[in-house]
Amino acid sequence: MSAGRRAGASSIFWRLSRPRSAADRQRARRMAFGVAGSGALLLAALAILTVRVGTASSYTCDESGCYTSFGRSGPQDGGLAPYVVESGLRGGTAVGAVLLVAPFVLLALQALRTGTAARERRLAALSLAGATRRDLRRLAFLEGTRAAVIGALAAGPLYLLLWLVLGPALPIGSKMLPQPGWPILIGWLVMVAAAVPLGGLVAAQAARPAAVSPLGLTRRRQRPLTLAHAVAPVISAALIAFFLRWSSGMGQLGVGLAAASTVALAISVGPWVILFTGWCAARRRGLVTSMAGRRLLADVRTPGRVVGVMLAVGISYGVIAALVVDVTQGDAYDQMFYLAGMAGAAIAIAVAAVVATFSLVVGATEQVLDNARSTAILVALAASPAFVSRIVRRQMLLAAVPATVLGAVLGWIVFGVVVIGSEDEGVGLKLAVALLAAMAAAALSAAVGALVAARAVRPAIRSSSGPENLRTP
Amino acid sequence: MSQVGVSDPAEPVLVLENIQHAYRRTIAVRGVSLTVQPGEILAVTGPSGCGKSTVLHVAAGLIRPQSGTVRLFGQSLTGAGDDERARLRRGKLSLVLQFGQLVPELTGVDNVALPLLLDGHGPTQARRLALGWLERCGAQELADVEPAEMSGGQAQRVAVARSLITSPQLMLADEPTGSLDSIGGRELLDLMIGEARRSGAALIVVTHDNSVAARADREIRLFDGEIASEAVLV
Repeated sequence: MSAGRRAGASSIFWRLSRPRSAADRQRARRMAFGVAGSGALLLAALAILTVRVGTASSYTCDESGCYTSFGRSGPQDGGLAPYVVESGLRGGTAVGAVLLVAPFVLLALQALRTGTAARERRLAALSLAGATRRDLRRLAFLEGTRAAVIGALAAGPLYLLLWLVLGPALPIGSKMLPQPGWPILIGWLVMVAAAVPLGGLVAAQAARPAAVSPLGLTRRRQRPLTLAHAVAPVISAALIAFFLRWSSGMGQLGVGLAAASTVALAISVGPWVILFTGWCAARRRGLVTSMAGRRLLADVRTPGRVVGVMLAVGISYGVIAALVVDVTQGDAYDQMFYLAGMAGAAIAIAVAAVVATFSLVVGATEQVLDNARSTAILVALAASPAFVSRIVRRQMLLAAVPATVLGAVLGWIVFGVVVIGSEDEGVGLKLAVALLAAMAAAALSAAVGALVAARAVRPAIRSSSGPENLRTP
Repeated sequence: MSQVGVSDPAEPVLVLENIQHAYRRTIAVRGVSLTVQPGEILAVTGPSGCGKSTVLHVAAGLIRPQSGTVRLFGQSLTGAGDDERARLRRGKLSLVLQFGQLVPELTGVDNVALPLLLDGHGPTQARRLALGWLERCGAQELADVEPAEMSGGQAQRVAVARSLITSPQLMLADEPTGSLDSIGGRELLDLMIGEARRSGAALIVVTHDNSVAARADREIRLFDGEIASEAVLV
């Protein structure tokens, strides 16, 4: 095929890769935001790792309180927090920033997988005109590349914004990010260059689960839970107990394996939490809750994956709340050193919770699109699109909030009651308040994420509610 | 570019042998066999739910039947992958559906040129040919119009122009006049049958409209997924 001939198909795909409808634009924006968020955090990790040793301060405390070596007249580019400056802590802080990338990557991936009714019609029409799967993957590649490049370009300014908040805006001695320099500029340029192939390849891979034909788009059906799904949580729980019991003999390895088993438990128990929540909700008398429960039961595995993250988020809240109780028992240095870090971690977890919950959008959107005809019939008969939105909103709240609150309680029980409660007497009231605070924070962040996600499904609901979907075969 | 080789003029363009297909527990087609010769115009009729569309979708390679064989242009479709089936749709075989077949983001001329563009033709040549086919189909004024601004009949004309641009040897149409009024439907059918007669292509029309069926060379009537009757009309 000559270059001129290839240009024909390429020009068509390039035009089609541009988001045209409002729903398509929203999808592209979500993909770009996911890339931009993860890019800014990667740049933050890079900035932390490239801090010049000896340019910043550390805490010194005496009877009059805590202050930094720069004191009240420190240099403008210094004043970094010990988490960033001290070589023993810097790596951990950078890893924390990288871990926060995960929810943003999840968001970008989920946005990629989210279809829109217009996009599905376009793919079916292209297939009718003779587009092969390779052609459609090419289109997905261009869509992904476009969003990834825009996101990577936006990562630079977003990092600057992050630096303003976590640098100049913080007092000397607690700044988390150093002034941007050459490493950040080079890292940003590398990121933009890498976005072209990576965004495209990931998007092309994400397009695989759906089979497109002129008759429409067929997604791989969700398989029901199997015996392996039933056994996995039990084995994970047994491994946690084993490694905790023998961790003293195994040292750091035991603790690491116990942590890995906890992650496995959180992931494997997710679908069961959804199954139980959906089962309970489906039996409620209220129409909205009952329908939301039935929608959860129709596909327990997709939201189940997010539940794993939400459980982990909840556990983190529980542990932090209990740790705060523990730290407030200590001296002024401990309080100054740990509380700032915990506040930062709590904010980071809240962001992770909102972003992770937002990824529920994919499953809900696919469900809405797959059932476009029944949605259109529901709207044509009696309900409004707003009613369908309420059902989806309830569905997301049911998927996110109970799991996060359950996680908070679990984290509080393990760390608060077992570890702290057994060592310190007289902290009962403080621990009780900490539990309430952890549950409230967990519920709030999960609910905010669910509500944001429910808003994001609205375009799919609107496009599925139209009368043109009544004649969909 | 099609992977399916050049067919013998005397060879049937389509042979279905003992096709059986079910959607979950509902058997849509049971033991259907039929042969379509080059240039033949065949109407597949029957009441709703009798399996007409399923037969057409099997013939077009959109559905893999649970049993039976499909031979298109002398080659079995059994081992053909999705990509090979897609290439067929931009080569020797064309498909016209009742609605929803134009790419919403492309103008009329680009929709018609699409199979050629996908096949690697240059945009200038593809659009020139597309304009020619739009003109033959009486839809030249739709060249720069997007599907959302077209009426049902106009969109069908553009779809027919697109189905003809690759000079197919077999045209498949699933209720092509189903969304049109009687005059628009008759005009569209005149266009499809006229082009099929002129080019010597075979045409299979699935319809429940007797006036459409009456214009075919042969009619096959399905009932409950089986061939209930067969009549030569010319």
